[in-house]
Amino acid sequence: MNKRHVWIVFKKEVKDIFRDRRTWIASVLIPMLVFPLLFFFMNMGMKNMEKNMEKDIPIYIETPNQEMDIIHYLNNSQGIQVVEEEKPYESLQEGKLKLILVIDEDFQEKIEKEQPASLKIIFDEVSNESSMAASMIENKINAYSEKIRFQRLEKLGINPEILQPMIITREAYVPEGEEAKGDQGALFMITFLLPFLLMLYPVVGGMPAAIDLGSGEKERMSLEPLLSTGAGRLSILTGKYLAILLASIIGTITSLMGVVAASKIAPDAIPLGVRISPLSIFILVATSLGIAMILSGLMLSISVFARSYKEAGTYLSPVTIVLMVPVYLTMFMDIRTLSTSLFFIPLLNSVLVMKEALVGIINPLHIILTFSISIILVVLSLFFTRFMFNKESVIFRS
Amino acid sequence: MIEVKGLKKSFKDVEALRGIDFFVPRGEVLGLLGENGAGKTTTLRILATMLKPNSGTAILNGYDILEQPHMVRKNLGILFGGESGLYDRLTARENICYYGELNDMSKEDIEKRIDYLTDILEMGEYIDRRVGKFSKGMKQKVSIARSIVHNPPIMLFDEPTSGLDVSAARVIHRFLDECRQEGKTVIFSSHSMGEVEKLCEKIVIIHKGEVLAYDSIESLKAKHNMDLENLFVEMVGERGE
Ligand SMILES: Nc1ncnc2c1ncn2[C@@H]1O[C@H](COP(=O)(O)OP(=O)(O)O)[C@@H](O)[C@H]1O
Ligand SMILES: [Mg+2]
Repeated sequence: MNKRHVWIVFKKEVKDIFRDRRTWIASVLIPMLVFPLLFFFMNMGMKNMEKNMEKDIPIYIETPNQEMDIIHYLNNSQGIQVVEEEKPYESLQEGKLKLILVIDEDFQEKIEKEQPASLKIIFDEVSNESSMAASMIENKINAYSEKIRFQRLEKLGINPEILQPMIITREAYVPEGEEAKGDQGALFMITFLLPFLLMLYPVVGGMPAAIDLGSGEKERMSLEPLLSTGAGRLSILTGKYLAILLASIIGTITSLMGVVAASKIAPDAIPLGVRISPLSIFILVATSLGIAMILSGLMLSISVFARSYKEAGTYLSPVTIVLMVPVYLTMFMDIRTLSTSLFFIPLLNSVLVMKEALVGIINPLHIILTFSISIILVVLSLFFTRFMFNKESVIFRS
Repeated sequence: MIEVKGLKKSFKDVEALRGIDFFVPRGEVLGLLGENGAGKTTTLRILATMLKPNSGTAILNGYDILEQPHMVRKNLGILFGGESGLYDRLTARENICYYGELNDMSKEDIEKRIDYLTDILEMGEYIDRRVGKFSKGMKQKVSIARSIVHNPPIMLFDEPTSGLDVSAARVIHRFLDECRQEGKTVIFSSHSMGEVEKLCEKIVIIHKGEVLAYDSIESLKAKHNMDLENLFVEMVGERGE
């Protein structure tokens, strides 16, 4: 291998791919914009829904007997507006009504007789606002029910506290000298989102470059002239590999920037208030670099093998789906009780090490295993690409 | 100087070359004549170290293709027919420069050489424009310049005029003359007798991976007492089936 040749090829390929609009779209524009846009619109929807819920919720009460205490109670509670409707069920489906409350005629009577009195909340299962309204009305009715319970106990001369034998509080354990990890929701979000991004965006960012640098040379018939220059094949290949790696890394970094931007747009939807130690950050960076290195090698070897752009695209597209498998699999694994054998599985181990690092678990065995396997995989993918590149039947596939 | 010794090459079940021998002295232009599928491209690819022969070897200017492939490549330029194989998003200059750098030329030498080639190939108008929108003729000139930027003593032409119109083919023919005048050793492959007769002193006729004739055009004609075209048809016919 000749370092000068590697550098020449790298420089040329970077210049070439970054003059391609597709590279900018794939490695910069898409990763940067997907999350901010997604969360911008999600946020807009949420705000809208909240606004609707802030208005009084229109409900309809279906009952033969309008003169009941509960109806007075609901009429007087805040956030609810009991309305008259000709055709309540149609209005519910049109979204004009958020729910219908069905109260039996003998409801009041049963309450007075101290028997369980039942009522029914009918909501529209396809409307989010309707189900939110249902929860809200249920809370209100529960509060009313509580009030009646207290009245009954008082009537019997019983202190209501007797019926609450225990008070439970829940608190996350934080070892001495450590800080709390932060919000639970934020923690879940970030331990899913970050491995997801670090798996997906090396491929999204690097794929156009990989396709162009491998099968592209065949398609435009530039491979033969290139191979007949003074540069050796390994140097050419290494230069190309590094250019693809760069595109992958840029794709990953811009996607992270996109997430940060998204969390500014919608702080509630992507809370990033998770504390990560410098050591964990180092592990995260190293792991994601390893992933990008493995995937760049894989993409280049597939692309070198393919006869044309089209063929390369066909082989490479499923790769993104395959990569999501370890990300989703790890969602259902408990981070404290991971079996060591899991860390022998390439890529899955990277996702797990990232998750551990995010919650501050530093397990040397896991890290060493993951890194060793990643390095072996990088080397293998490079050797495989080189093998492909040296194989006459691959280079001159027709 | 090119010395080809007993080259054999098979692809799976196809015997593409069955023992090719010939010799091109320094400064000579050899025509490599053969029908489609005769083995011309395979021979030139082996000389350019892109393919490895199953047996036999070749020596180019003292460098063995098997032992010093890197030096062999630095000493030769190769021009292909068909697609130009240029990078559309690079300018003509960048395309040529890339090959100069890969052949270990210095920046100044490349600049000087590109200026010179721009001049003689009349590419001044578009040398700094991106190749993507070039016409076929413009691209062809750029790929000629690219193949010769490092001023190699040996040039290989693989059916460079196939699919070109007359005036574009003439550019190639002029370029070949240029190479001859500069004393380069040249192999020019073609399936057109007329073209080879016009451009080369000596020819190798290959058919199904074997050398049928290897002589100067004059003496071939004299010996068999017929023109090249008839001679070729007759030779191939005798061998056939
Ligand atoms: N990469 C390859 N794989 C399989 N067979 C090939 C390959 N390249 C050439 N051949 C076969 O070798 C023979 C010689 O081909 P080639 O050298 O391209 O002929 P020419 O250039 O004279 O037309 C043909 O039969 C061709 O089909
Ligand atoms: Mg050919």
